[in-house]
Amino acid sequence: MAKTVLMFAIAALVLFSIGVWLATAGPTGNAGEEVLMVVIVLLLVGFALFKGIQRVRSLERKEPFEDELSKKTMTKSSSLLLHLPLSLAFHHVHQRSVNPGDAHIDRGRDRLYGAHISGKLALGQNGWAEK
Amino acid sequence: MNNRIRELRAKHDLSQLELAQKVGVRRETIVFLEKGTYNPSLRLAHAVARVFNQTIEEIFIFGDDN
Repeated sequence: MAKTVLMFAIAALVLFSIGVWLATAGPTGNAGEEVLMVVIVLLLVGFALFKGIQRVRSLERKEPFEDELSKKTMTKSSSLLLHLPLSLAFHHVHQRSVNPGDAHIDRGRDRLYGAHISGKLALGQNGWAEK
Repeated sequence: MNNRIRELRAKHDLSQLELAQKVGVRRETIVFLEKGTYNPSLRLAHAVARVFNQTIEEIFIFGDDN
Protein backbone atom coordinates (compact mmCIF):
# COMPACT_ATOMS: atom_id res chain seq x y z
CA MET A 1 0.00 0.00 0.00
CA ALA A 2 2.79 2.42 0.96
CA LYS A 3 4.58 1.66 -2.30
CA THR A 4 1.45 2.36 -4.32
CA VAL A 5 0.95 5.71 -2.57
CA LEU A 6 4.62 6.55 -3.15
CA MET A 7 4.31 5.60 -6.84
CA PHE A 8 1.31 7.89 -7.30
CA ALA A 9 3.08 10.70 -5.44
CA ILE A 10 6.12 10.36 -7.70
CA ALA A 11 3.94 10.18 -10.81
CA ALA A 12 2.08 13.34 -9.69
CA LEU A 13 5.39 15.15 -9.03
CA VAL A 14 6.76 14.16 -12.43
CA LEU A 15 3.57 15.27 -14.22
CA PHE A 16 3.64 18.56 -12.27
CA SER A 17 7.31 19.08 -13.18
CA ILE A 18 6.58 18.44 -16.86
CA GLY A 19 3.65 20.87 -16.70
CA VAL A 20 5.79 23.59 -15.11
CA TRP A 21 8.59 22.90 -17.55
CA LEU A 22 6.35 23.13 -20.61
CA ALA A 23 4.59 26.25 -19.26
CA THR A 24 7.76 28.15 -18.44
CA ALA A 25 10.12 26.97 -21.18
CA GLY A 26 8.59 29.08 -23.95
CA PRO A 27 9.86 29.36 -27.50
CA THR A 28 13.63 29.49 -27.75
CA GLY A 29 13.75 30.73 -31.31
CA ASN A 30 15.86 27.72 -32.14
CA ALA A 31 14.00 24.92 -33.93
CA GLY A 32 16.64 22.36 -32.93
CA GLU A 33 16.23 23.07 -29.22
CA GLU A 34 12.44 22.88 -29.44
CA VAL A 35 12.60 19.55 -31.27
CA LEU A 36 14.93 18.30 -28.54
CA MET A 37 12.41 19.27 -25.84
CA VAL A 38 9.56 17.51 -27.67
CA VAL A 39 11.74 14.42 -28.11
CA ILE A 40 12.49 14.39 -24.35
CA VAL A 41 8.76 14.56 -23.53
CA LEU A 42 7.95 11.85 -26.10
CA LEU A 43 10.70 9.64 -24.66
CA LEU A 44 9.27 10.12 -21.16
CA VAL A 45 5.74 9.27 -22.27
CA GLY A 46 6.99 6.35 -24.37
CA PHE A 47 9.04 4.99 -21.47
CA ALA A 48 6.06 5.24 -19.10
CA LEU A 49 3.82 3.47 -21.65
CA PHE A 50 6.41 0.76 -22.22
CA LYS A 51 6.72 0.09 -18.49
CA GLY A 52 2.93 0.10 -18.11
CA ILE A 53 2.40 -2.40 -20.94
CA GLN A 54 5.22 -4.55 -19.58
CA ARG A 55 3.53 -4.66 -16.16
CA VAL A 56 0.13 -5.54 -17.60
CA ARG A 57 1.71 -8.39 -19.61
CA SER A 58 3.50 -9.65 -16.51
CA LEU A 59 0.22 -9.57 -14.62
CA GLU A 60 -1.46 -11.61 -17.38
CA ARG A 61 1.34 -14.19 -17.26
CA LYS A 62 1.05 -14.32 -13.45
CA GLU A 63 4.72 -13.46 -13.05
CA PRO A 64 6.21 -10.64 -10.93
CA PHE A 65 6.48 -7.35 -12.81
CA GLU A 66 9.79 -6.57 -11.13
CA ASP A 67 12.64 -8.93 -10.40
CA GLU A 68 16.38 -8.76 -9.78
CA LEU A 69 17.28 -8.33 -13.47
CA SER A 70 14.78 -5.55 -14.15
CA LYS A 71 15.85 -3.76 -10.96
CA LYS A 72 19.49 -4.01 -11.99
CA THR A 73 18.67 -2.65 -15.43
CA MET A 74 16.67 0.18 -13.89
CA THR A 75 19.49 1.05 -11.49
CA LYS A 76 21.95 1.27 -14.38
CA SER A 77 19.56 3.42 -16.42
CA SER A 78 18.95 5.69 -13.43
CA SER A 79 22.63 6.23 -12.76
CA LEU A 80 23.25 6.95 -16.45
CA LEU A 81 20.32 9.36 -16.57
CA LEU A 82 21.55 11.14 -13.46
CA HIS A 83 24.84 11.89 -15.23
CA LEU A 84 23.00 13.80 -17.96
CA PRO A 85 21.57 16.67 -15.88
CA LEU A 86 24.71 16.74 -13.74
CA SER A 87 26.95 17.10 -16.79
CA LEU A 88 24.66 19.79 -18.22
CA ALA A 89 24.67 21.61 -14.86
CA PHE A 90 28.47 21.64 -14.74
CA HIS A 91 28.63 22.76 -18.37
CA HIS A 92 26.17 25.54 -17.58
CA VAL A 93 28.18 26.71 -14.55
CA HIS A 94 31.37 26.58 -16.61
CA GLN A 95 29.88 28.60 -19.48
CA ARG A 96 28.56 31.21 -17.10
CA SER A 97 31.96 31.59 -15.47
CA VAL A 98 33.71 31.82 -18.85
CA ASN A 99 31.16 34.17 -20.44
CA PRO A 100 29.46 36.17 -17.66
CA GLY A 101 26.55 38.24 -18.94
CA ASP A 102 26.06 36.17 -22.09
CA ALA A 103 22.24 36.03 -22.30
CA HIS A 104 21.92 33.05 -24.64
CA ILE A 105 23.49 30.73 -22.04
CA ASP A 106 20.29 30.96 -19.96
CA ARG A 107 18.42 29.10 -22.69
CA GLY A 108 20.33 26.00 -21.69
CA ARG A 109 18.30 25.90 -18.50
CA ASP A 110 15.27 24.47 -20.32
CA ARG A 111 17.25 21.49 -21.52
CA LEU A 112 18.75 21.10 -18.06
CA TYR A 113 15.33 20.94 -16.43
CA GLY A 114 14.05 18.49 -19.05
CA ALA A 115 17.00 16.18 -18.57
CA HIS A 116 16.64 16.46 -14.80
CA ILE A 117 12.97 15.42 -15.01
CA SER A 118 13.99 12.31 -16.99
CA GLY A 119 16.50 11.41 -14.30
CA LYS A 120 14.02 11.96 -11.51
CA LEU A 121 11.44 9.80 -13.24
CA ALA A 122 13.82 6.87 -13.59
CA LEU A 123 15.21 7.27 -10.08
CA GLY A 124 11.75 7.52 -8.57
CA GLN A 125 10.56 4.43 -10.36
CA ASN A 126 13.65 2.54 -9.31
CA GLY A 127 13.30 3.64 -5.70
CA TRP A 128 9.70 2.49 -5.67
CA ALA A 129 10.55 -0.90 -7.14
CA GLU A 130 13.41 -1.52 -4.72
CA LYS A 131 12.50 -3.94 -1.96
CA MET B 1 29.79 -18.61 -16.55
CA ASN B 2 27.85 -21.31 -18.39
CA ASN B 3 24.75 -23.07 -17.18
CA ARG B 4 22.57 -26.09 -17.96
CA ILE B 5 19.21 -24.41 -17.46
CA ARG B 6 17.98 -24.91 -21.04
CA GLU B 7 18.99 -28.59 -20.98
CA LEU B 8 17.38 -29.24 -17.57
CA ARG B 9 14.27 -27.30 -18.51
CA ALA B 10 13.81 -29.52 -21.57
CA LYS B 11 14.45 -32.61 -19.47
CA HIS B 12 11.75 -31.56 -16.96
CA ASP B 13 9.42 -30.46 -19.77
CA LEU B 14 9.15 -26.93 -18.41
CA SER B 15 8.57 -23.81 -20.47
CA GLN B 16 10.52 -20.63 -19.75
CA LEU B 17 7.37 -19.08 -18.31
CA GLU B 18 6.70 -22.06 -16.05
CA LEU B 19 10.24 -21.99 -14.71
CA ALA B 20 10.00 -18.22 -14.23
CA GLN B 21 6.80 -18.64 -12.22
CA LYS B 22 8.35 -21.39 -10.09
CA VAL B 23 11.39 -19.29 -9.14
CA GLY B 24 9.51 -15.98 -8.93
CA VAL B 25 11.12 -13.99 -11.73
CA ARG B 26 10.04 -12.62 -15.11
CA ARG B 27 10.29 -14.81 -18.24
CA GLU B 28 12.85 -12.40 -19.73
CA THR B 29 15.19 -13.14 -16.84
CA ILE B 30 15.12 -16.86 -17.73
CA VAL B 31 15.86 -15.95 -21.36
CA PHE B 32 18.92 -13.91 -20.30
CA LEU B 33 20.02 -16.65 -17.90
CA GLU B 34 19.89 -19.28 -20.63
CA LYS B 35 21.84 -17.06 -23.00
CA GLY B 36 24.48 -16.66 -20.30
CA THR B 37 24.28 -12.86 -20.48
CA TYR B 38 23.07 -12.50 -16.89
CA ASN B 39 24.64 -13.92 -13.75
CA PRO B 40 21.91 -14.64 -11.19
CA SER B 41 21.98 -13.75 -7.52
CA LEU B 42 22.75 -16.55 -5.08
CA ARG B 43 19.06 -16.55 -4.08
CA LEU B 44 17.91 -17.08 -7.69
CA ALA B 45 20.60 -19.68 -8.39
CA HIS B 46 19.45 -21.56 -5.29
CA ALA B 47 15.79 -21.35 -6.37
CA VAL B 48 16.64 -22.72 -9.84
CA ALA B 49 18.70 -25.53 -8.29
CA ARG B 50 15.78 -26.48 -6.03
CA VAL B 51 13.36 -26.66 -8.98
CA PHE B 52 15.65 -29.13 -10.75
CA ASN B 53 16.59 -30.90 -7.50
CA GLN B 54 20.29 -30.36 -8.12
CA THR B 55 23.10 -28.36 -6.52
CA ILE B 56 24.06 -24.90 -7.74
CA GLU B 57 27.45 -26.23 -8.89
CA GLU B 58 25.76 -28.87 -11.05
CA ILE B 59 23.76 -26.21 -12.91
CA PHE B 60 26.05 -23.19 -13.00
CA ILE B 61 29.51 -23.98 -14.34
CA PHE B 62 32.28 -21.57 -13.48
CA GLY B 63 35.20 -21.31 -15.91
CA ASP B 64 38.86 -21.17 -14.95
CA ASP B 65 38.93 -17.40 -15.45
CA ASN B 66 36.43 -17.01 -12.59
